[in-house]
Amino acid sequence: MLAKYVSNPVRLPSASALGESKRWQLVIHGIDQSGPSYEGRVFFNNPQADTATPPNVETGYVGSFHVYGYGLSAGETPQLPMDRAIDATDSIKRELGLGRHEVTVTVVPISAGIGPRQRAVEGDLTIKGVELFPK
Amino acid sequence: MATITIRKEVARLSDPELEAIRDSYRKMMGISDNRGWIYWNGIHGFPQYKCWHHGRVGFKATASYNLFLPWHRAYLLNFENAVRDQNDGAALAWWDWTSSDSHTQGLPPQFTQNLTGGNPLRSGPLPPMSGDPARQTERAFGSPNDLPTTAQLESLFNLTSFIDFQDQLEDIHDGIHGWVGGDMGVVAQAAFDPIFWAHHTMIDRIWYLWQLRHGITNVPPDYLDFPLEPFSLKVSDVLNITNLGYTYSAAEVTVPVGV
Repeated sequence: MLAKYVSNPVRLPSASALGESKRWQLVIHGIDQSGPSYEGRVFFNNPQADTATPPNVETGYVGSFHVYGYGLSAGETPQLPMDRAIDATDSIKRELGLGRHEVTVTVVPISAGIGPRQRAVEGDLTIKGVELFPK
Repeated sequence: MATITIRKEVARLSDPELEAIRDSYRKMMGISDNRGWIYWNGIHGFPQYKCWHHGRVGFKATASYNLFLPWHRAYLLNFENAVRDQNDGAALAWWDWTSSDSHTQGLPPQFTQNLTGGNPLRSGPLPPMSGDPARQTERAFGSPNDLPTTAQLESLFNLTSFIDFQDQLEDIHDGIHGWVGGDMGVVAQAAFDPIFWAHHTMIDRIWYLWQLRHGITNVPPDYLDFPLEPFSLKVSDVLNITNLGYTYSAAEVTVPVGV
């Protein structure tokens, strides 16, 4: 099972900057595709989130993305790391409404099922960083 | 006279149409040369790794491009030709993972049934790889409730940018691979599972329906000359499926064409 990723604090846009664009995206940079497949559930300000955390507003859930992993073994040719963007507009508004100016971003991998003759993969979730920007 | 192959939903195949697919797959699974299952499915992942998923740099470009939809269309076309070489009554069929049947039972029963003499839609041969011996593909699928919904597709059809549409459709596609799990869950082995082709026929159909609404040639102009290796096609060659010799039959879901 892959371990979760927790970012350093990320500065939120100000309320005035938020209004300058209809939508804001959270971009997750440099996601490694070489290993297993999983759903990445993204939470704001919930570094304790885990696979049992309900994906709802109360837990800081922002959204999710999917990784279709290559299933390569160590030493095999890696693929280009990918970036994924999810809409974070409502979550940013909520955090600003709570008086917060920055958030940590937690990505919890929910692993795809593996067959009886496949090997489970252990290790860290490899993500280069996260960023908020207007779309 | 040129003929058009009509691709249908798995749930709507007649018994002879379903048997033609099974007959062809069964024959391909018994062939060890470049007409066979191992060869064709080894183009996607292990050992050739020619598939496009998310961005990668290629063909005279330094920026990241994504040929996910065009490349898989070319792959489906060439695979379908190989399928029809074994049984000319066979055609690819799509698995509608948004249907009420799928949200009740998960995978189509045609792909899970145990049949006397074996069901070539239930599992496919996987070559030896990474030190593991040859074996049959396996699945570890999730709950039917977790499959994508028609509402998710409707939101995709409203996107006007090919890049945005392809990116969001690919995320749904990725989730289905993970939902089926097992060998379908990783690029290296996925194509060896027969459900791969029904899943990707659904993806290609969704692109076709989006094209009807937003334009057949609606791709960034700098994509048009990208080659879709190892096939002798480039992106501009695969935009019009009628020119490729196939089409999709009508389904239950009506998608508005034009705005």
